Amino acid sequence: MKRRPSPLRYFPGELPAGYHARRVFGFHILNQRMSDKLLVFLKEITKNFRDFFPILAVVVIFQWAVVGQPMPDLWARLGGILLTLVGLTLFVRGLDMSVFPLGQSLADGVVSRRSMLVLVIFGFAVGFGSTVAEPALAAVAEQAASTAHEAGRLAGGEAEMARFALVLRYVVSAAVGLAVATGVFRILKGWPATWFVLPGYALATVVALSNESPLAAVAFDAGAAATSAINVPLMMTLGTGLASLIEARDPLTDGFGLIAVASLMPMVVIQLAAVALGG
Amino acid sequence: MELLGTLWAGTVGTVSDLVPIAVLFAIFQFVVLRKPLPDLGRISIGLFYVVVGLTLFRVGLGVSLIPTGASMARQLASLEHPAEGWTAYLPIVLFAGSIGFTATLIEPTLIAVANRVRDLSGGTVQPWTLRIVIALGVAGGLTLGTLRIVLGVPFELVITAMVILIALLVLGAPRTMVPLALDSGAIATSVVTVPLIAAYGIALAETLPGRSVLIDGFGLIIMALLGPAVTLLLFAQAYRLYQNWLKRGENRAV
Repeated sequence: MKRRPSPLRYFPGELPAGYHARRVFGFHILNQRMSDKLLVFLKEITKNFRDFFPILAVVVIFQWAVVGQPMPDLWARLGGILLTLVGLTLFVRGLDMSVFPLGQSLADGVVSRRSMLVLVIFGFAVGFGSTVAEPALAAVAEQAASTAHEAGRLAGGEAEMARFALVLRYVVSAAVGLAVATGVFRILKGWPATWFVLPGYALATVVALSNESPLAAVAFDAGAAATSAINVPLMMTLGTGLASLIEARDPLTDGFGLIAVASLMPMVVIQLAAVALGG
Repeated sequence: MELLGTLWAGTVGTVSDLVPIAVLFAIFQFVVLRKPLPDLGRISIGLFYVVVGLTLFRVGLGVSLIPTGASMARQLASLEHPAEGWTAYLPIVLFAGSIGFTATLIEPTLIAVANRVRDLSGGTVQPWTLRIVIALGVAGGLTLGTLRIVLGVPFELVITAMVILIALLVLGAPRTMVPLALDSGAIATSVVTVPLIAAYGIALAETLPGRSVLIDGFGLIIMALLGPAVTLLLFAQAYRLYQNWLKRGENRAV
Protein backbone atom coordinates (compact mmCIF):
# COMPACT_ATOMS: atom_id res chain seq x y z
CA MET A 1 0.00 0.00 0.00
CA LYS A 2 1.23 3.47 -0.90
CA ARG A 3 1.87 5.59 2.19
CA ARG A 4 0.39 9.04 2.26
CA PRO A 5 3.11 11.69 2.51
CA SER A 6 3.36 13.49 5.80
CA PRO A 7 1.30 16.67 5.66
CA LEU A 8 4.15 18.56 7.29
CA ARG A 9 6.37 17.61 4.37
CA TYR A 10 3.54 18.00 1.89
CA PHE A 11 2.81 21.60 2.77
CA PRO A 12 6.15 23.05 3.79
CA GLY A 13 5.61 26.26 5.66
CA GLU A 14 1.95 26.85 4.74
CA LEU A 15 -1.19 24.76 5.21
CA PRO A 16 -4.53 25.12 3.42
CA ALA A 17 -6.88 27.59 5.12
CA GLY A 18 -8.71 26.13 8.10
CA TYR A 19 -6.36 23.17 8.47
CA HIS A 20 -3.60 22.49 10.97
CA ALA A 21 -1.10 19.66 11.29
CA ARG A 22 -0.59 17.65 14.45
CA ARG A 23 1.63 14.82 15.56
CA VAL A 24 -0.27 12.06 17.32
CA PHE A 25 1.78 9.02 18.48
CA GLY A 26 4.43 9.81 15.93
CA PHE A 27 1.98 10.14 12.99
CA HIS A 28 1.48 13.41 11.20
CA ILE A 29 -2.20 14.23 10.97
CA LEU A 30 -3.69 16.97 8.84
CA ASN A 31 -6.79 18.20 10.54
CA GLN A 32 -9.50 20.80 10.31
CA ARG A 33 -9.87 23.02 13.34
CA MET A 34 -12.71 21.98 15.63
CA SER A 35 -14.38 25.41 15.31
CA ASP A 36 -14.38 25.15 11.49
CA LYS A 37 -15.87 21.65 11.60
CA LEU A 38 -18.61 22.98 13.85
CA LEU A 39 -19.22 25.88 11.45
CA VAL A 40 -19.59 23.51 8.47
CA PHE A 41 -21.97 21.34 10.50
CA LEU A 42 -24.09 24.34 11.53
CA LYS A 43 -24.25 25.54 7.91
CA GLU A 44 -25.43 22.09 6.85
CA ILE A 45 -28.14 22.06 9.54
CA THR A 46 -29.42 25.51 8.53
CA LYS A 47 -29.62 24.34 4.91
CA ASN A 48 -31.59 21.26 5.97
CA PHE A 49 -33.86 23.42 8.09
CA ARG A 50 -34.57 25.68 5.09
CA ASP A 51 -35.50 22.56 3.08
CA PHE A 52 -37.82 21.50 5.91
CA PHE A 53 -39.67 24.81 5.81
CA PRO A 54 -42.29 24.02 3.09
CA ILE A 55 -43.43 20.85 4.84
CA LEU A 56 -43.76 22.70 8.17
CA ALA A 57 -45.77 25.40 6.35
CA VAL A 58 -48.18 22.78 4.95
CA VAL A 59 -48.73 21.26 8.41
CA VAL A 60 -49.23 24.71 10.00
CA ILE A 61 -51.71 25.85 7.32
CA PHE A 62 -53.85 22.73 7.61
CA GLN A 63 -53.66 22.68 11.41
CA TRP A 64 -54.78 26.26 11.94
CA ALA A 65 -56.80 27.15 8.84
CA VAL A 66 -58.63 23.86 8.20
CA VAL A 67 -58.76 22.07 11.56
CA GLY A 68 -58.78 25.31 13.59
CA GLN A 69 -57.37 23.77 16.75
CA PRO A 70 -53.95 24.13 18.40
CA MET A 71 -51.43 21.43 17.56
CA PRO A 72 -51.35 18.63 20.15
CA ASP A 73 -47.95 18.13 21.89
CA LEU A 74 -46.52 21.11 20.02
CA TRP A 75 -43.26 21.40 21.98
CA ALA A 76 -42.45 17.69 21.92
CA ARG A 77 -42.91 17.72 18.14
CA LEU A 78 -40.72 20.77 17.62
CA GLY A 79 -38.03 19.09 19.73
CA GLY A 80 -38.47 15.94 17.65
CA ILE A 81 -37.97 17.90 14.43
CA LEU A 82 -34.74 19.34 15.82
CA LEU A 83 -33.51 15.81 16.69
CA THR A 84 -34.52 14.63 13.19
CA LEU A 85 -32.59 17.48 11.55
CA VAL A 86 -29.41 16.88 13.57
CA GLY A 87 -29.74 13.14 12.94
CA LEU A 88 -30.31 13.58 9.20
CA THR A 89 -27.29 15.90 8.86
CA LEU A 90 -24.97 13.52 10.76
CA PHE A 91 -26.32 10.50 8.87
CA VAL A 92 -25.79 11.95 5.39
CA ARG A 93 -22.31 13.25 6.32
CA GLY A 94 -21.39 9.89 7.87
CA LEU A 95 -22.53 7.96 4.78
CA ASP A 96 -20.39 10.24 2.59
CA MET A 97 -17.38 9.53 4.79
CA SER A 98 -17.75 5.79 5.30
CA VAL A 99 -20.26 3.64 3.44
CA PHE A 100 -20.12 5.33 0.01
CA PRO A 101 -16.31 5.51 -0.44
CA LEU A 102 -16.07 1.99 0.95
CA GLY A 103 -18.76 0.76 -1.45
CA GLN A 104 -17.14 2.59 -4.35
CA SER A 105 -13.67 1.16 -3.70
CA LEU A 106 -15.14 -2.31 -3.15
CA ALA A 107 -17.14 -2.09 -6.39
CA ASP A 108 -14.03 -0.98 -8.31
CA GLY A 109 -12.03 -3.83 -6.80
CA VAL A 110 -14.70 -6.44 -7.52
CA VAL A 111 -15.21 -5.21 -11.10
CA SER A 112 -11.46 -5.43 -11.74
CA ARG A 113 -11.57 -9.13 -10.79
CA ARG A 114 -13.54 -9.67 -14.05
CA SER A 115 -15.44 -12.63 -12.65
CA MET A 116 -19.18 -12.73 -13.26
CA LEU A 117 -19.79 -15.01 -10.28
CA VAL A 118 -17.97 -12.72 -7.81
CA LEU A 119 -19.87 -9.70 -9.21
CA VAL A 120 -23.27 -11.35 -8.89
CA ILE A 121 -22.52 -12.52 -5.32
CA PHE A 122 -21.28 -9.03 -4.50
CA GLY A 123 -24.55 -7.60 -5.88
CA PHE A 124 -26.54 -9.88 -3.59
CA ALA A 125 -24.38 -8.92 -0.59
CA VAL A 126 -24.79 -5.18 -1.23
CA GLY A 127 -28.56 -5.46 -1.67
CA PHE A 128 -29.10 -7.68 1.37
CA GLY A 129 -26.72 -5.95 3.78
CA SER A 130 -27.81 -2.41 3.01
CA THR A 131 -31.54 -3.16 3.14
CA VAL A 132 -31.33 -4.68 6.64
CA ALA A 133 -29.97 -1.31 7.82
CA GLU A 134 -32.77 0.76 6.20
CA PRO A 135 -34.57 2.94 8.78
CA ALA A 136 -37.69 3.50 6.62
CA LEU A 137 -38.20 -0.25 6.16
CA ALA A 138 -37.84 -0.78 9.91
CA ALA A 139 -40.53 1.85 10.54
CA VAL A 140 -42.97 0.24 8.09
CA ALA A 141 -42.24 -3.28 9.39
CA GLU A 142 -43.06 -2.16 12.95
CA GLN A 143 -46.26 -0.46 11.73
CA ALA A 144 -47.24 -3.65 9.86
CA ALA A 145 -46.56 -5.79 12.95
CA SER A 146 -48.64 -3.63 15.29
CA THR A 147 -51.43 -3.36 12.71
CA ALA A 148 -51.49 -7.11 12.17
CA HIS A 149 -51.55 -7.54 15.95
CA GLU A 150 -54.48 -5.14 16.39
CA ALA A 151 -56.36 -6.78 13.51
CA GLY A 152 -56.08 -10.07 15.39
CA ARG A 153 -53.91 -11.78 12.79
CA LEU A 154 -50.94 -12.06 15.13
CA ALA A 155 -51.30 -13.92 18.43
CA GLY A 156 -48.93 -13.19 21.31
CA GLY A 157 -47.54 -9.99 22.75
CA GLU A 158 -44.67 -7.59 22.15
CA ALA A 159 -42.11 -10.35 21.56
CA GLU A 160 -44.20 -11.92 18.80
CA MET A 161 -44.66 -8.51 17.14
CA ALA A 162 -40.92 -7.79 17.24
CA ARG A 163 -40.23 -11.22 15.72
CA PHE A 164 -42.77 -10.62 12.93
CA ALA A 165 -41.18 -7.23 12.11
CA LEU A 166 -37.69 -8.77 12.09
CA VAL A 167 -38.68 -11.70 9.84
CA LEU A 168 -40.43 -9.29 7.45
CA ARG A 169 -37.29 -7.15 7.25
CA TYR A 170 -34.97 -10.11 6.58
CA VAL A 171 -37.29 -11.56 3.91
CA VAL A 172 -37.47 -8.17 2.17
CA SER A 173 -33.67 -7.76 2.40
CA ALA A 174 -33.05 -11.16 0.82
CA ALA A 175 -35.49 -10.23 -1.96
CA VAL A 176 -33.61 -6.96 -2.60
CA GLY A 177 -30.32 -8.88 -2.66
CA LEU A 178 -31.78 -11.22 -5.28
CA ALA A 179 -32.93 -8.21 -7.31
CA VAL A 180 -29.48 -6.55 -7.28
CA ALA A 181 -27.82 -9.84 -8.27
CA THR A 182 -30.25 -10.12 -11.21
CA GLY A 183 -29.60 -6.48 -12.11
CA VAL A 184 -25.81 -6.98 -12.19
CA PHE A 185 -26.30 -10.01 -14.45
CA ARG A 186 -28.61 -7.95 -16.69
CA ILE A 187 -26.08 -5.10 -17.06
CA LEU A 188 -23.30 -7.58 -17.90
CA LYS A 189 -25.52 -9.20 -20.55
CA GLY A 190 -26.81 -5.85 -21.84
CA TRP A 191 -30.50 -6.67 -21.57
CA PRO A 192 -32.86 -3.67 -21.22
CA ALA A 193 -34.22 -3.01 -17.72
CA THR A 194 -37.79 -2.78 -19.04
CA TRP A 195 -37.79 -6.54 -19.71
CA PHE A 196 -37.56 -7.10 -15.96
CA VAL A 197 -39.58 -4.20 -14.57
CA LEU A 198 -42.79 -4.46 -16.59
CA PRO A 199 -43.24 -8.28 -16.31
CA GLY A 200 -42.35 -7.90 -12.61
CA TYR A 201 -45.16 -5.41 -12.06
CA ALA A 202 -47.50 -7.59 -14.12
CA LEU A 203 -46.64 -10.59 -11.92
CA ALA A 204 -47.11 -8.59 -8.70
CA THR A 205 -50.53 -7.28 -9.78
CA VAL A 206 -51.70 -10.66 -11.12
CA VAL A 207 -50.85 -12.29 -7.78
CA ALA A 208 -52.67 -9.48 -5.96
CA LEU A 209 -55.74 -9.80 -8.22
CA SER A 210 -55.91 -13.59 -8.17
CA ASN A 211 -56.11 -14.04 -4.40
CA GLU A 212 -57.80 -11.87 -1.84
CA SER A 213 -54.93 -11.87 0.65
CA PRO A 214 -55.27 -8.94 3.07
CA LEU A 215 -51.48 -8.75 3.12
CA ALA A 216 -51.28 -7.56 -0.53
CA ALA A 217 -51.27 -3.86 0.37
CA VAL A 218 -48.67 -4.49 3.12
CA ALA A 219 -46.50 -6.35 0.60
CA PHE A 220 -46.62 -3.49 -1.93
CA ASP A 221 -45.82 -0.88 0.72
CA ALA A 222 -42.97 -2.91 2.23
CA GLY A 223 -41.40 -3.17 -1.23
CA ALA A 224 -41.75 0.57 -1.75
CA ALA A 225 -40.23 1.25 1.69
CA ALA A 226 -37.36 -1.20 1.16
CA THR A 227 -35.48 1.09 -1.25
CA SER A 228 -34.32 4.05 0.77
CA ALA A 229 -31.45 6.23 1.98
CA ILE A 230 -28.69 3.61 2.32
CA ASN A 231 -29.31 1.08 -0.43
CA VAL A 232 -30.48 3.44 -3.20
CA PRO A 233 -27.17 5.37 -3.42
CA LEU A 234 -25.22 2.10 -3.14
CA MET A 235 -27.27 0.43 -5.89
CA MET A 236 -26.93 3.54 -8.05
CA THR A 237 -23.14 3.56 -7.53
CA LEU A 238 -22.94 -0.13 -8.40
CA GLY A 239 -25.27 0.06 -11.44
CA THR A 240 -23.97 3.23 -13.08
CA GLY A 241 -20.37 2.36 -12.15
CA LEU A 242 -20.63 -1.08 -13.73
CA ALA A 243 -22.37 0.30 -16.83
CA SER A 244 -19.74 3.01 -17.34
CA LEU A 245 -16.90 0.47 -17.06
CA ILE A 246 -18.29 -1.70 -19.87
CA GLU A 247 -17.80 0.11 -23.17
CA ALA A 248 -21.00 -0.88 -24.95
CA ARG A 249 -23.24 0.23 -22.04
CA ASP A 250 -24.61 3.68 -21.32
CA PRO A 251 -24.61 4.59 -17.59
CA LEU A 252 -27.96 6.42 -17.82
CA THR A 253 -29.83 3.81 -19.88
CA ASP A 254 -28.29 0.60 -18.51
CA GLY A 255 -27.18 1.72 -15.04
CA PHE A 256 -30.68 2.61 -13.87
CA GLY A 257 -33.54 0.13 -13.64
CA LEU A 258 -31.86 -1.73 -10.78
CA ILE A 259 -33.76 0.11 -8.05
CA ALA A 260 -37.19 -0.53 -9.59
CA VAL A 261 -36.53 -4.29 -9.59
CA ALA A 262 -35.22 -4.05 -6.01
CA SER A 263 -38.53 -2.59 -4.83
CA LEU A 264 -40.55 -5.03 -6.97
CA MET A 265 -38.94 -8.24 -5.75
CA PRO A 266 -40.16 -7.93 -2.12
CA MET A 267 -43.71 -7.24 -3.37
CA VAL A 268 -43.73 -10.56 -5.24
CA VAL A 269 -41.86 -12.54 -2.56
CA ILE A 270 -44.04 -11.42 0.38
CA GLN A 271 -47.24 -12.08 -1.53
CA LEU A 272 -46.10 -15.53 -2.61
CA ALA A 273 -45.00 -16.31 0.97
CA ALA A 274 -48.40 -15.17 2.26
CA VAL A 275 -50.16 -17.41 -0.29
CA ALA A 276 -47.91 -20.35 0.63
CA LEU A 277 -48.56 -19.87 4.35
CA GLY A 278 -52.30 -19.68 3.77
CA GLY A 279 -52.70 -15.88 3.78
CA MET B 1 -34.80 9.61 31.87
CA GLU B 2 -37.36 8.13 29.52
CA LEU B 3 -35.69 9.86 26.57
CA LEU B 4 -32.29 8.45 27.62
CA GLY B 5 -33.76 4.94 27.68
CA THR B 6 -35.25 5.45 24.19
CA LEU B 7 -31.93 6.77 22.89
CA TRP B 8 -30.03 3.80 24.35
CA ALA B 9 -32.49 1.27 22.90
CA GLY B 10 -32.29 3.11 19.56
CA THR B 11 -28.47 2.96 19.55
CA VAL B 12 -28.47 -0.78 20.24
CA GLY B 13 -31.01 -1.28 17.43
CA THR B 14 -29.02 0.81 14.97
CA VAL B 15 -25.72 -0.97 15.70
CA SER B 16 -27.30 -4.41 15.29
CA ASP B 17 -28.88 -3.25 11.98
CA LEU B 18 -25.51 -2.16 10.65
CA VAL B 19 -23.79 -5.46 11.54
CA PRO B 20 -24.80 -7.39 8.33
CA ILE B 21 -23.48 -4.76 5.91
CA ALA B 22 -20.28 -4.33 7.98
CA VAL B 23 -19.64 -8.09 7.97
CA LEU B 24 -20.33 -8.40 4.22
CA PHE B 25 -18.09 -5.45 3.36
CA ALA B 26 -15.34 -6.88 5.59
CA ILE B 27 -15.56 -10.29 3.87
CA PHE B 28 -15.21 -8.76 0.41
CA GLN B 29 -12.45 -6.38 1.50
CA PHE B 30 -10.25 -8.87 3.34
CA VAL B 31 -11.12 -12.29 1.88
CA VAL B 32 -11.98 -11.60 -1.78
CA LEU B 33 -9.88 -8.52 -2.52
CA ARG B 34 -7.24 -9.10 0.21
CA LYS B 35 -6.50 -5.39 0.59
CA PRO B 36 -6.25 -3.27 3.73
CA LEU B 37 -8.82 -0.49 4.20
CA PRO B 38 -7.86 2.73 2.41
CA ASP B 39 -8.52 5.24 5.20
CA LEU B 40 -9.46 3.57 8.45
CA GLY B 41 -9.60 6.67 10.67
CA ARG B 42 -11.99 8.63 8.45
CA ILE B 43 -14.20 5.57 7.87
CA SER B 44 -14.51 4.89 11.61
CA ILE B 45 -15.48 8.51 12.31
CA GLY B 46 -18.01 8.29 9.44
CA LEU B 47 -19.52 5.08 10.85
CA PHE B 48 -19.78 6.74 14.27
CA TYR B 49 -21.70 9.63 12.62
CA VAL B 50 -23.96 7.13 10.83
CA VAL B 51 -24.86 5.35 14.10
CA VAL B 52 -25.49 8.57 16.06
CA GLY B 53 -27.31 10.22 13.14
CA LEU B 54 -29.55 7.25 12.42
CA THR B 55 -30.46 6.91 16.11
CA LEU B 56 -31.34 10.59 16.53
CA PHE B 57 -33.23 10.53 13.23
CA ARG B 58 -35.37 7.55 14.26
CA VAL B 59 -36.10 8.85 17.76
CA GLY B 60 -36.87 12.30 16.32
CA LEU B 61 -39.24 10.92 13.66
CA GLY B 62 -41.00 8.87 16.31
CA VAL B 63 -41.97 11.98 18.27
CA SER B 64 -42.44 14.46 15.39
CA LEU B 65 -43.38 13.52 11.82
CA ILE B 66 -45.02 10.17 12.58
CA PRO B 67 -47.43 11.44 15.28
CA THR B 68 -48.04 14.59 13.20
CA GLY B 69 -49.07 12.50 10.19
CA ALA B 70 -51.33 10.36 12.36
CA SER B 71 -52.92 13.27 14.26
CA MET B 72 -53.51 15.29 11.08
CA ALA B 73 -55.29 12.29 9.53
CA ARG B 74 -57.47 11.85 12.63
CA GLN B 75 -58.36 15.54 12.90
CA LEU B 76 -59.10 15.96 9.19
CA ALA B 77 -61.17 12.76 9.03
CA SER B 78 -63.33 13.74 12.01
CA LEU B 79 -64.08 17.32 10.82
CA GLU B 80 -67.70 18.37 10.63
CA HIS B 81 -68.63 18.13 6.95
CA PRO B 82 -70.30 21.20 5.51
CA ALA B 83 -70.67 19.59 2.08
CA GLU B 84 -72.17 16.34 0.85
CA GLY B 85 -70.54 13.63 -1.25
CA TRP B 86 -66.86 13.28 -2.00
CA THR B 87 -66.14 17.03 -1.61
CA ALA B 88 -66.52 16.48 2.14
CA TYR B 89 -63.21 14.66 2.04
CA LEU B 90 -61.41 17.37 0.07
CA PRO B 91 -59.16 18.49 2.99
CA ILE B 92 -57.94 14.90 3.55
CA VAL B 93 -57.04 14.49 -0.12
CA LEU B 94 -55.49 17.95 -0.48
CA PHE B 95 -53.35 17.49 2.63
CA ALA B 96 -52.02 14.15 1.34
CA GLY B 97 -51.07 15.72 -1.99
CA SER B 98 -49.38 18.80 -0.57
CA ILE B 99 -47.48 16.93 2.17
CA GLY B 100 -46.28 14.45 -0.49
CA PHE B 101 -44.98 17.25 -2.69
CA THR B 102 -43.12 19.10 0.09
CA ALA B 103 -41.75 15.94 1.75
CA THR B 104 -40.33 14.64 -1.56
CA LEU B 105 -38.41 17.88 -2.10
CA ILE B 106 -36.39 17.24 1.09
CA GLU B 107 -35.58 13.57 0.44
CA PRO B 108 -31.77 13.32 0.77
CA THR B 109 -31.71 10.24 -1.50
CA LEU B 110 -33.47 12.04 -4.34
CA ILE B 111 -31.10 15.02 -4.05
CA ALA B 112 -28.07 12.71 -4.34
CA VAL B 113 -29.52 10.82 -7.32
CA ALA B 114 -30.60 14.01 -9.12
CA ASN B 115 -27.05 15.40 -8.89
CA ARG B 116 -25.64 12.13 -10.21
CA VAL B 117 -28.10 12.13 -13.14
CA ARG B 118 -27.03 15.68 -14.07
CA ASP B 119 -23.41 14.48 -14.27
CA LEU B 120 -24.29 11.34 -16.25
CA SER B 121 -26.53 13.15 -18.74
CA GLY B 122 -23.95 15.87 -19.31
CA GLY B 123 -26.24 18.55 -17.88
CA THR B 124 -29.32 17.94 -20.06
CA VAL B 125 -31.38 16.75 -17.07
CA GLN B 126 -31.37 19.53 -14.47
CA PRO B 127 -31.62 18.39 -10.80
CA TRP B 128 -34.38 20.86 -9.88
CA THR B 129 -36.54 19.93 -12.87
CA LEU B 130 -36.15 16.25 -12.01
CA ARG B 131 -36.98 16.81 -8.33
CA ILE B 132 -40.08 18.89 -9.07
CA VAL B 133 -41.43 16.47 -11.73
CA ILE B 134 -40.90 13.55 -9.31
CA ALA B 135 -42.45 15.46 -6.38
CA LEU B 136 -45.50 16.21 -8.55
CA GLY B 137 -45.74 12.48 -9.28
CA VAL B 138 -45.65 11.63 -5.57
CA ALA B 139 -48.33 14.26 -4.92
CA GLY B 140 -50.52 12.87 -7.72
CA GLY B 141 -50.08 9.28 -6.54
CA LEU B 142 -50.94 10.19 -2.96
CA THR B 143 -53.99 12.17 -4.08
CA LEU B 144 -55.28 9.12 -5.99
CA GLY B 145 -54.34 6.75 -3.15
CA THR B 146 -56.16 8.84 -0.53
CA LEU B 147 -59.21 9.16 -2.80
CA ARG B 148 -59.19 5.35 -3.03
CA ILE B 149 -59.20 4.99 0.78
CA VAL B 150 -61.96 7.60 1.12
CA LEU B 151 -64.15 6.15 -1.63
CA GLY B 152 -63.42 2.51 -0.70
CA VAL B 153 -62.25 1.39 -4.16
CA PRO B 154 -60.41 -1.99 -3.96
CA PHE B 155 -56.63 -1.60 -3.78
CA GLU B 156 -55.86 -4.19 -6.47
CA LEU B 157 -57.93 -2.41 -9.13
CA VAL B 158 -56.16 0.94 -8.67
CA ILE B 159 -52.71 -0.68 -8.77
CA THR B 160 -53.59 -2.64 -11.91
CA ALA B 161 -54.82 0.53 -13.65
CA MET B 162 -51.61 2.39 -12.72
CA VAL B 163 -49.39 -0.46 -13.96
CA ILE B 164 -51.25 -0.64 -17.30
CA LEU B 165 -50.94 3.16 -17.66
CA ILE B 166 -47.17 2.99 -17.00
CA ALA B 167 -46.74 0.13 -19.50
CA LEU B 168 -48.55 2.15 -22.19
CA LEU B 169 -46.44 5.24 -21.46
CA VAL B 170 -43.22 3.17 -21.61
CA LEU B 171 -44.08 2.09 -25.15
CA GLY B 172 -44.18 5.70 -26.38
CA ALA B 173 -41.51 7.41 -24.27
CA PRO B 174 -37.91 8.11 -25.37
CA ARG B 175 -35.87 4.99 -24.66
CA THR B 176 -33.04 6.66 -22.68
CA MET B 177 -35.35 8.04 -19.98
CA VAL B 178 -37.36 4.85 -19.34
CA PRO B 179 -35.06 3.11 -16.77
CA LEU B 180 -34.65 6.34 -14.76
CA ALA B 181 -38.42 6.94 -14.83
CA LEU B 182 -39.12 3.42 -13.58
CA ASP B 183 -36.55 3.88 -10.80
CA SER B 184 -37.66 7.38 -9.82
CA GLY B 185 -40.55 6.33 -7.57
CA ALA B 186 -38.43 3.94 -5.54
CA ILE B 187 -35.81 6.68 -5.18
CA ALA B 188 -38.36 9.29 -4.07
CA THR B 189 -40.09 7.18 -1.40
CA SER B 190 -37.41 7.29 1.24
CA VAL B 191 -36.62 8.35 4.82
CA VAL B 192 -38.93 11.37 5.08
CA THR B 193 -41.96 10.39 2.98
CA VAL B 194 -42.32 6.73 3.95
CA PRO B 195 -42.82 7.03 7.75
CA LEU B 196 -45.04 10.08 7.27
CA ILE B 197 -47.29 8.47 4.63
CA ALA B 198 -47.51 5.14 6.47
CA ALA B 199 -48.68 6.85 9.67
CA TYR B 200 -51.15 9.03 7.72
CA GLY B 201 -52.75 6.12 5.85
CA ILE B 202 -53.13 3.90 8.91
CA ALA B 203 -54.64 6.68 11.05
CA LEU B 204 -56.99 7.58 8.21
CA ALA B 205 -58.27 4.01 7.88
CA GLU B 206 -58.70 3.82 11.67
CA THR B 207 -60.73 7.02 11.83
CA LEU B 208 -62.98 6.68 8.77
CA PRO B 209 -66.05 4.55 9.50
CA GLY B 210 -66.20 1.08 7.93
CA ARG B 211 -62.56 0.83 6.82
CA SER B 212 -60.21 -2.05 7.68
CA VAL B 213 -56.74 -0.94 8.76
CA LEU B 214 -54.96 -3.90 7.18
CA ILE B 215 -56.70 -3.57 3.81
CA ASP B 216 -57.26 0.19 3.51
CA GLY B 217 -54.50 1.58 5.76
CA PHE B 218 -51.67 0.27 3.61
CA GLY B 219 -51.25 0.82 -0.12
CA LEU B 220 -50.48 4.56 -0.02
CA ILE B 221 -46.68 4.24 -0.34
CA ILE B 222 -46.97 2.13 -3.49
CA MET B 223 -49.16 4.85 -5.03
CA ALA B 224 -46.46 7.42 -4.18
CA LEU B 225 -43.98 5.06 -5.89
CA LEU B 226 -45.96 4.61 -9.11
CA GLY B 227 -46.86 8.32 -9.49
CA PRO B 228 -43.38 9.63 -10.42
CA ALA B 229 -43.01 7.00 -13.19
CA VAL B 230 -46.15 8.42 -14.81
CA THR B 231 -45.18 12.10 -14.51
CA LEU B 232 -41.56 11.55 -15.57
CA LEU B 233 -42.57 9.49 -18.64
CA LEU B 234 -45.15 12.14 -19.58
CA PHE B 235 -42.54 14.88 -19.06
CA ALA B 236 -39.98 13.05 -21.23
CA GLN B 237 -42.61 12.59 -23.93
CA ALA B 238 -43.68 16.24 -23.80
CA TYR B 239 -40.07 17.41 -23.83
CA ARG B 240 -39.34 15.38 -26.95
CA LEU B 241 -42.45 16.71 -28.70
CA TYR B 242 -41.37 20.26 -27.77
CA GLN B 243 -37.87 19.64 -29.15
CA ASN B 244 -39.32 18.26 -32.40
CA TRP B 245 -41.63 21.26 -32.69
CA LEU B 246 -38.68 23.65 -32.21
CA LYS B 247 -36.70 21.78 -34.86
CA ARG B 248 -39.59 21.93 -37.31
CA GLY B 249 -39.91 25.67 -36.67
CA GLU B 250 -36.22 26.17 -37.44
CA ASN B 251 -36.47 24.18 -40.66
CA ARG B 252 -39.42 26.27 -41.80
CA ALA B 253 -37.57 29.49 -40.98
CA VAL B 254 -34.65 28.33 -43.12
